[in-house]
Amino acid sequence: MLQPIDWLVVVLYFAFIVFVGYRTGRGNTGIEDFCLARRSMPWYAIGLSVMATQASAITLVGTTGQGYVDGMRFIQVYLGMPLAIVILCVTLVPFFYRAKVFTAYEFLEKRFDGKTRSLTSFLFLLGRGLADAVVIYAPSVILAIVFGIDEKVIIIAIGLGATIYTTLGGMRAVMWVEMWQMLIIFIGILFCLGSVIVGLPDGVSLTDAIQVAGATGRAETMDFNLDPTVTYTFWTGVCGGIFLMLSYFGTDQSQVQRYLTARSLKESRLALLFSALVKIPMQFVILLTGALLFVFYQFEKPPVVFNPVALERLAQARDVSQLEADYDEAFETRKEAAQNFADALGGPREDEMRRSFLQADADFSGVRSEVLGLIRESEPGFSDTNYVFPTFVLTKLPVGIVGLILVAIFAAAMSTVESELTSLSTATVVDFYQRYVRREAEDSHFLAVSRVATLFWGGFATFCALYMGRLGSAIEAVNRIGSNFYGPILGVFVLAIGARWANGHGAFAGVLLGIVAVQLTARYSEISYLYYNLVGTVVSVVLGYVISLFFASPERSV
Amino acid sequence: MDKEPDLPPPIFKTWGRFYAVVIANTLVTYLLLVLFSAYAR
Repeated sequence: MLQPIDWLVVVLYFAFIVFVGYRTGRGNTGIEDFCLARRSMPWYAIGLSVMATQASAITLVGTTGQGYVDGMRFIQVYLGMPLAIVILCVTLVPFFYRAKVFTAYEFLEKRFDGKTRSLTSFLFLLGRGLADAVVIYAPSVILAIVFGIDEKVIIIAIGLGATIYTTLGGMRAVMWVEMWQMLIIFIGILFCLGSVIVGLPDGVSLTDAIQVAGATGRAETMDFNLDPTVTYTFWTGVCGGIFLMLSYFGTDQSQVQRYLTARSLKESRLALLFSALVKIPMQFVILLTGALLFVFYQFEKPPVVFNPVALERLAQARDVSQLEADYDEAFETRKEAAQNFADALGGPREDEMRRSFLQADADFSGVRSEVLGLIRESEPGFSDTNYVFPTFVLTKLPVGIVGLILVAIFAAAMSTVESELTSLSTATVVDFYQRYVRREAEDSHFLAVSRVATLFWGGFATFCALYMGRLGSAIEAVNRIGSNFYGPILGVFVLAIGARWANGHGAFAGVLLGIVAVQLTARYSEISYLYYNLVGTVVSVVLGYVISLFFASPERSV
Repeated sequence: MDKEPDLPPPIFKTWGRFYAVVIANTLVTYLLLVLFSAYAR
């Protein structure tokens, strides 16, 4: 359970965030203030805000777990990001900036027509609206189980907490808050890495630990396998990853809106390039923490399953005493083998000790897999990956630091939620309310409507998160489909700036056909999901262009 | 209109050079990741 000092750290965090939100968010007088901070933000605040938006709580908790269970190969997802950012800085960012738009989709009406803008904005609202509920719900379940806090309290703290200061302070408050949240996340990550390194037993150095992790393949960060069905390889990361990142940073309003707040085009570019340079090293540190956790748990006995509730349910349903005895024995054997291997590194018996360690690790994993298999009989698809890191934090870190890491997880969750809220509200008001309901009104009217829209989306996300247990599969299904929209939407933007003869009819049809192509690819092929955006973009560009040829020449131009 | 001219930080002189540095940095990062993998194997 959390100690009073940890609670104090959590309370201080919320007080600080509310204070920053209140101080920086005062004086909004119109919609440009509320949605784009009157285009006045400096690059460093935008850069950290861009990073905070991307780093959700599941990124922090799940990625360390991924490092523990599967190793560091996941880092390859981000290999294409710096290249994608450079492409965007040369292409879309100047177009957005000079067009003085509020949303990425508004640009499409300037170039094509209203229906293309409305379709892409609607797809964004559909995908992100439900994704926001997942962003709140997923960490809440984990924190509730591991830290013993009521799930509903966490959902309300994250969901309504973020909604309140986003509604009151608007984009300026959100971005300054996010800057601090990202700094808290950085501090939390470094504390975690330091804690794991300090927790290694005497005689096992950091380099020894990396080699122990490496012996099991967990330190493998680059895989040059050309097979497109292997999820994480250098090629999927670079080829597929570029399109994934182009789609996310170039067409997702939650990111585009960040760099539209810049006081100049230069500041927009600097912010994006800053986040591009920092992202891979940051993910490396998070994954390394997970891989080193694996080494840490060679010498400290980990729970059989990191989700205590699932383990308790299994123990109530059947007798697991024999499995627990086998697990204890396998752990002691592996502990001894790991110590022998670490001692033998660089010596003549290294290969022999490596083999016996790998055998002991396989035996240990076999017992754990047996237990996981029993849980999956009643809970198909069960995984405890996301519970590894919070369990370590609660059981192994000192009082106060636990509170700090919990705060970093809260910060990661809230920074993503508030970004989604600002972008959802801006797209709702600018792309639909101003477009179809009321084109002309006082600025104060649109400010009030923006606040109502923020409140609506925050309430909607929190409500869905509260009832996620019942609505789970439906929301997840829509969320999964939503993630397939981005490639085709990127295709429309490519048509907009790269194909002079493309027109609204072609672009509109291109998006829809691109979505169909991605769905079919996901259903009938086994290629890595990182390629889906590439497929969606190519289909949407090619078919969008061909269909455009059947209609008149461009109706409008930028 | 921009409140300041669209120039990169003075050290890079042009945006093209800045992008080249970012791409070079990315390639060095790839190399370091390969070396890390090789060291830990």
